[in-house]
Amino acid sequence: MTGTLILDCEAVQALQDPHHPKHGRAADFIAANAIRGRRSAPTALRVVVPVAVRIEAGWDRTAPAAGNINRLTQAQDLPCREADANLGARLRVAFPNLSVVDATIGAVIASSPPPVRILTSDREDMSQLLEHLSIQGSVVSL
Amino acid sequence: MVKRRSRREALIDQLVTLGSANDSSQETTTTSIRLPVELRVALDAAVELGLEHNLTDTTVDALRERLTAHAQLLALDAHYVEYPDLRPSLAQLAIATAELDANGLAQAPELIRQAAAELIAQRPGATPDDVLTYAMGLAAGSSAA
Repeated sequence: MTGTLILDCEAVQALQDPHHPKHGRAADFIAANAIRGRRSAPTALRVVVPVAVRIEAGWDRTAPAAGNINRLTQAQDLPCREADANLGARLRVAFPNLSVVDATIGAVIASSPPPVRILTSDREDMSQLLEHLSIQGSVVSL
Repeated sequence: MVKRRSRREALIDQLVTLGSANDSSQETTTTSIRLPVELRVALDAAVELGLEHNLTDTTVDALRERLTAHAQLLALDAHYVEYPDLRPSLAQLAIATAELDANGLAQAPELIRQAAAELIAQRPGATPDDVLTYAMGLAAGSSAA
């Protein structure tokens, strides 16, 4: 397992709610990746979620309603460290319309083991971040 | 009447809570394991080459990856029992795999569906990666024809 699958806000929202229109599609990516992980395939990705995404999406791991997404994703929290905050701030200067949460995703993209995949409905902004940061990765659209 | 949880359900709960804990919050325990000698020699070489840190980190990482995958798949199975319409077909899983890989086959979902249908008839235990390999063969065959 060398690469990283980053969940953005809509991916989290979709995975939280089985009735969300994109829930099935989002779960398919988790399942496809887990099938590889079970075989210890080197192409399996580590599933991560930036803590800012969790906050924006209202994912409180201790809430009873979060049981499903906790179990399905087994996602690892990625905190925002000092260097991440600095990079996020620079990204917001480069892209003034970038939200704070998306800037923290940018910092996570930069510090995650490649290849990086971002599960998102915001293809344009995330592609822009990958290109700006010159990171080996791609956007997986929900 | 309160339903009694089975031993299996309790064990699955233990497994699926694995990923909820952060690395820093976990207690550790000392465990002795026996390794094949050649594996140990290979690990020492990998450490010296800078490819791995040490036996403990390598073992913990590998174990965590496998157990996390088992936990996810058990959780997904339970989820699909509750929501059977969400259970993906082999073709859907193969398409998702192709998208995760940024594989060009993701742009040919019909080819992947054909590959899944043909492959599953021959090999019921086929994986999404098997389907993609088969689909690549189909694509190569059709472009050569």
